Amino acid sequence: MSIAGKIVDLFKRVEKVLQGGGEQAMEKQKAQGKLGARDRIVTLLDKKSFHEYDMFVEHQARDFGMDKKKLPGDGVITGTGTVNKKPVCIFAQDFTVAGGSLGLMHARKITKVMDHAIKQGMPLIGINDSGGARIQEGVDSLAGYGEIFYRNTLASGVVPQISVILGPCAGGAVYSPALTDFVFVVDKISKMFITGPEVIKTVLGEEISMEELGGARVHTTITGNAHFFSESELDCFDQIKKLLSYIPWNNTRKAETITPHLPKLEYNIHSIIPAESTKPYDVRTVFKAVFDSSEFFEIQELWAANIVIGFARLNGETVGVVGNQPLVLAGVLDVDSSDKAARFIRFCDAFNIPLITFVDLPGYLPGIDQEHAGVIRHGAKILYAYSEATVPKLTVILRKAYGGGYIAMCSRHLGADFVFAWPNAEIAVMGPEGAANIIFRAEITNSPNPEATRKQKVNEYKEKFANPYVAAASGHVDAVIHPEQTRDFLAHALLITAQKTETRPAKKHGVPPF
Amino acid sequence: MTTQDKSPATSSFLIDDTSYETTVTKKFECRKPYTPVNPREVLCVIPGVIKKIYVHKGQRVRAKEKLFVLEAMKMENEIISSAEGVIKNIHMVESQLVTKGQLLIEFE
Repeated sequence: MSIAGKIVDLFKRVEKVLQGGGEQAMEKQKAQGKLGARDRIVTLLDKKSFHEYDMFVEHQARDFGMDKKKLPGDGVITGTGTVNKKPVCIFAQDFTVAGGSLGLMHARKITKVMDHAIKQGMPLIGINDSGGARIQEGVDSLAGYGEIFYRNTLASGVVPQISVILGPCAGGAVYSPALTDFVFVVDKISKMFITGPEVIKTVLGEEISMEELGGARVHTTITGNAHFFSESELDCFDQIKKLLSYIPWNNTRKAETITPHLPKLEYNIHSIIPAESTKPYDVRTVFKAVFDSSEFFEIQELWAANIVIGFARLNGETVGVVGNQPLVLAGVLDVDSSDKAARFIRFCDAFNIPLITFVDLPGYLPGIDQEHAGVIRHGAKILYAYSEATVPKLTVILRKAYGGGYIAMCSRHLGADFVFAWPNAEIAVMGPEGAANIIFRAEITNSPNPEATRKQKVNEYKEKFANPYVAAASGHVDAVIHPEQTRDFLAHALLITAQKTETRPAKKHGVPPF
Repeated sequence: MTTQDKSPATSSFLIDDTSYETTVTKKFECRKPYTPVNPREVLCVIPGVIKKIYVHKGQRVRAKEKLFVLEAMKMENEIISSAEGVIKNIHMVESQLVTKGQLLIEFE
């Protein structure tokens, strides 16, 4: 065969693989509002940047008639490309080919790009759309999953890992996304669960739909398994691109710095916080008044909304932002909000992203359900994550900072580099009412008018301790600042801490509470 | 007495077409069956005190209209209606202590 003939032959082979599961299967995919696997990759990546590998990989299964079955690309498309001109490794399972089922070679294609991502130091994006293990391949398909999970773990904290759930992702398959840093889901398309509605019905006799059990809304509002919710696949890709613009390629780099912009003038930092400490407000408005272009990229917006986490930029540099949200459950720490913040703090620390914490909380949520759900162990995660982090840590106390909540929210005692407080901040061992009731118990009970004495003592306590100056007198707060100075103080602190190096006792790894 | 006599009572437990003889945990026994969220019910999300009720039985409210104020963790939370509807019943009075999950308002 001439070279030209061989090239024609190559084209024919490529053409065959590009057809995936064939026209009919593709029609079915589109009828569900889903893009084809290759279209997904091409739409997400920069134009003409996708380079595909392992097109001609074939499965080696021989049982159950598999020896006669050809599966184009073995049901997964893998390669490299760029997003915002940054390199990424990517794979997309192709549901049109044997339901995107995972066999050993399918998994080996995935682990190959994962190895590239780790070695070459670039983010990994996995698009999941699969019916699960390829049963015909038996335990080999389990081996495939295991090899993926192992690499997810190796890559954790080395390169950012992003999972995009664009179809079913059930059984063992869900553990790969769970091990990655960010999980994206799309309404009515994503389905994630360990055991499906059928099994639940046979074992427990309970009936539930797939959507109610593990749909996009469930995982972004109830379970917290997913981080970003979108109405459509295209919106989802836009969110992924935006996320990638905030984070570095790998753990040896810093996120890209862009041209700084001032916040928009419409956000007047004075008028955000109500004078009475019992009135709620949206802490995100404070972020908008402080950060570049008044932009805040929120993560897990719909779950555990009593704490807010996300990325913003200060003088063009990416920062990780954590803030109590007085608008929801008074901004208390509880099981879910602790989990949410702790994991984010660890991500930022692993990827050299400075942390800025905004504090306004009454403390931990009291309740039998919280105590029995293990709030001690969950709440400890925040303390661990902040203490462990060696990136620049800056804290602004906006209003209430009481008790254990004060300590947990990146206080100086957990290693904050700078702690600033607004003049209306209340930093004390506990709320004035509770503190006065304990300290002045005898005086109150012995008083001819206990209620009046109690009120008077609460006011006395408030006057004396519900302010930032007691903490400032001990040096726990570095500066009490005018709210208008917040951006300036934070930007300067970022500059001062830019070369921060902090070493920790050598160890294999810590044993954080889980 | 044999060891068998001492072992606690087991029950059968079906997973993947196989029935296993096993004991079950207290948590499993006490689990609540799943009930879908009823959009016609306003449930309490955090323990607290009802400070003020703005609406009454039979009233038609618009979306985003104030329903009541719940003070919890020293914060006065204004609870607003998520949709338009007519109030069928109110299960609280002002100054009442309410717990998490308690039914507060029913819509028709």
